[in-house]
Amino acid sequence: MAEEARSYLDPAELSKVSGLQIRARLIVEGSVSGLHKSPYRGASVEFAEHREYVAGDDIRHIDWKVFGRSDRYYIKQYEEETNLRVQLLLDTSESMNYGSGAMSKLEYARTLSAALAYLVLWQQDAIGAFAFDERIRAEVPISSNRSHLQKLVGVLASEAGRDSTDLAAVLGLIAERIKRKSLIILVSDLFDDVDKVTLGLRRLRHAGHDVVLFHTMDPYELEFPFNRMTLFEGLEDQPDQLADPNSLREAYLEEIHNFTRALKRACRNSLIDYQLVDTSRPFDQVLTEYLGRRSGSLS
Amino acid sequence: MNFANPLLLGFLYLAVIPLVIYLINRQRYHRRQWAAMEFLLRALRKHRRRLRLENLLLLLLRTALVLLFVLALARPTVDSGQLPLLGSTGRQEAILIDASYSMGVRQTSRSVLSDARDLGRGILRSLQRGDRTGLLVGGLPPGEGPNLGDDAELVGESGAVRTRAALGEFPLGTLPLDLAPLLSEAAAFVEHQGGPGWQLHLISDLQRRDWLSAEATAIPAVREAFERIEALEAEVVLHPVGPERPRNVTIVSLDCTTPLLTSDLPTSFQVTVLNQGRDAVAGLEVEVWIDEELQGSRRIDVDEGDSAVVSFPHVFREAGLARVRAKVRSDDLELDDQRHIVLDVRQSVEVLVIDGGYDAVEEAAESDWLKAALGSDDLIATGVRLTPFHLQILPPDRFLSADLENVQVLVLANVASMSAADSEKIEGFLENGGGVLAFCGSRVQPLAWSRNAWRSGEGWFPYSPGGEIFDARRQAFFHWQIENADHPVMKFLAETPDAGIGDVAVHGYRLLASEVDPEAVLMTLDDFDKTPALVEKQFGKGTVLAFNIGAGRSWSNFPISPAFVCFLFEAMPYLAARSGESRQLALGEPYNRVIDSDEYAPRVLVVTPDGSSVPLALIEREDRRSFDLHVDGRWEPGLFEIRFDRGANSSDAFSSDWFAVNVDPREGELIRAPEDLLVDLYPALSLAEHSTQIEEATLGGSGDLWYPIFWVVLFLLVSESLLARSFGRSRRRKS
Repeated sequence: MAEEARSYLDPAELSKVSGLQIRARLIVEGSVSGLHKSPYRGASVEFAEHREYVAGDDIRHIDWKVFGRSDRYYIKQYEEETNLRVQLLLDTSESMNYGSGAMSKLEYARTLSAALAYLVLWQQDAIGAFAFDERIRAEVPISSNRSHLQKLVGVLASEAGRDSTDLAAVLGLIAERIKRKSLIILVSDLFDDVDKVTLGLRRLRHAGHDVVLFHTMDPYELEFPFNRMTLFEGLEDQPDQLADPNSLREAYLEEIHNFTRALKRACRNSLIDYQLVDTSRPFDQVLTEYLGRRSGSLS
Repeated sequence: MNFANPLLLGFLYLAVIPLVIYLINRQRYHRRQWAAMEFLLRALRKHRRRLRLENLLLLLLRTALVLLFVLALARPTVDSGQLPLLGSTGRQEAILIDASYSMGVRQTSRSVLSDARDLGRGILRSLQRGDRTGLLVGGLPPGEGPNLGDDAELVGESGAVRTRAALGEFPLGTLPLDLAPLLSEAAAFVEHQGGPGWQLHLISDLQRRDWLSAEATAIPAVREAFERIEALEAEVVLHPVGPERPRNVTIVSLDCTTPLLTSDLPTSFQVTVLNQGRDAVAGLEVEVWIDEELQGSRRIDVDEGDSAVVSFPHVFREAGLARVRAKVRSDDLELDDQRHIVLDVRQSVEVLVIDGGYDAVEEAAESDWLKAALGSDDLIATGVRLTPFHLQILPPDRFLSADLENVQVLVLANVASMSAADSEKIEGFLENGGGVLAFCGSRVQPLAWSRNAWRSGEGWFPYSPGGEIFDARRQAFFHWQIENADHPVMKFLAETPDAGIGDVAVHGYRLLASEVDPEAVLMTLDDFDKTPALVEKQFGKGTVLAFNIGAGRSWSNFPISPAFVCFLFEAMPYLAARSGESRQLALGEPYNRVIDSDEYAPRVLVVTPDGSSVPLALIEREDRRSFDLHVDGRWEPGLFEIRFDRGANSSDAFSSDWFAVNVDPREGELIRAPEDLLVDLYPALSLAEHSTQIEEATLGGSGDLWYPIFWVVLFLLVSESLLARSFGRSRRRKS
């Protein structure tokens, strides 16, 4: 059964599910639920209701006032309240439209973002979102209400990929908008100048935010597996280029490798979690890997 | 450089395929949207020059690959001397085969030539791909040899196809083997192929006369040819074929004893047979056929090396051409078992005597001596005639009015005057092939003869007559000496001293006032100056024999000498025969005749002995009254008919002329030269140990380049693959 459930977390299979919210639920419930406790604990509690004591309950939570009135043991139950604020930053630039498999990078990023939002809300934390390209295209205010998920997913799904990216400027704007310290999850292919990207990330860090970077890349972009002469049609105002992939492969891969290495180095220097996401990988793997590393970094 | 498959070189244009594929690939590209374009452009910018160089190198490699592959398929070869390191050594073995007619010997159902062909095929079978071979044939008429050209054949996958086919195609020759030209041709072949390393397999029946001189020594021309081959570092391996003791009796001659044949004149055919084998032959049947009818046969025994003459008497009753064939039966070699002659049987031989001392009453004139010697052609009681000559005697003043059309020989017996008209008539007679016998005795007027007959050498008479030497007392005399004993007229007289030509006493003679060609002098006097006594001159198609004495007894006793009769009977046939119109031809000798206009036929054919016919064309001569008939030399022996077809409307619709072609009887001598002696005499020659064992050439040889080219192609293929992989061009990823 577990294997069968996991097969649904493959991007190819998941792409057949149309609703983003359902996808998020499938991902979280199929992979994370029951496996991990929330890595984000709330600092205060608020009374919610009573229930009868059963053996094993912590006696510190027995409401003695009720015992005095009724001579029966009742346990006080509290509604947890989190202090974790999460902001999702989704790159919806034109380059994110590229995809060699069942899902484009943008679709994969949306699904991943939705799953993260579901997870955060499921853990009763607050989450907001921004969709951007060269400017901010949409914003969802932060909230911990579970019904907030629907609104958030609706906004994520509605933003189509367009225009180019200007990460430094956009991240600077976002840093100004987010007043309270938050966990900022950036999902993007980061196809911009490395220095600009680094500058934008540093601005976020400078504002005191904790930043997690999901660097979303299509497997073709990582492997460049083409053989035949190809006219590569540029996105985001890039020119077209006719090339023999066989002859260019090594040089291209070297460029990609240099780019990701520079990004990793910049993230490491700025204490940013960097996660390279291959859009061909199942979501549960990506989430598990991330959560595992996150738990490790917090413990 | 030679190519085994030169046609494949036409595929060299396939070398453009890599370039075409490259260009097509540039046109037939896939379109693909690409997000990470910045990285792609950056990679391109950084590596543009390297990529161009790699592309160029791969393109060159692939082009060279195709070029060399096609080249390897075409199988180039170079002579080892030109490319000693690359060329692999192959065998170079050519076959020299003796196809002379002695190779037609059969002791079983197979001829020696068939065995020789099989031996040649065995040699060819032993060759392998890349070896080279050739074929040279001796003893064949011109144009009948295998037309293989000067180039050697490169043995291919199917063996030496061309040479093997040629080995079975040429016929048995009709000529003797002329070894020196064959070896010279082989030397030229080896030289043309670039020199050393050739092994020449000479397959022959080793006829002694082909290999050795009469003294059993080396023939200089053959030795020189062998030395030339040796100088080219080639080797000749001898493969003897044929039976050790073949049986062969050759008809060496078929002669008619009567040189001038007329009807009703008794004659005899003499067939000379020679046993050229190693064993005596008993009961050999000799036959003579005339006009395809058997006239007689004799059985004779002939010891080894001996000859025998068999006579067949015959009387022709009608004039015309007669075809005579002599034949022997039961023999190992057929080609020399027959011999043919064609004889012109005339009604009579017309002799016109112009007697300078003509006297119709007294029988003391010179013509009387001539008449007595030549006899009368009248029939005697037995229905035969004793002489073919029919004499007509005229005085000089009636010469101009005489009809010379049917005259074969004109005798000028001490004719005093020679007018220009006389001389012109004689020239016309000679030009048509007549013969003139002139006796220049005491009556001859030298000035007239010199001016009109000699004409400073332009006339018909061979010299300018000078003054006379005469001892009236008859006490001083001279004798004749034969200067040319091989001349047909003199041969019998020289060989028969009893005829008495040397005993003739000459008391008087006429001097010669001009020089004569010594070759034309048949007899001289034994005087101090060796004065020419009998001089010959060819004029037109005719012949002149001129004595410097008369035909009477005034200056010599020649008329009363037996030599007189003998001389006349030798001279008359010689003079009566038209020069160049012999009907007995050797192989390859052309037949020429002048056809009178009344013999003309619009359609003329020559019919060969096997019945096939070849059309001929008559060419009109300048005199517009006659035609030249020319038949190219024939290379098959037998009787050939020239058929004149004048159409059905003509009174004489058809007529025929005939000629005979015979082989050289000496080729029938089948005595074999000792092999050890040949190896000693010709150092370049080695003897094959076994007739079917072919030694492999180990040195030199031709370079077959396909093998090294194949390795180069393989190397380039691996290089291309490695380079492509190294350059990232290999298709190791799936899109």
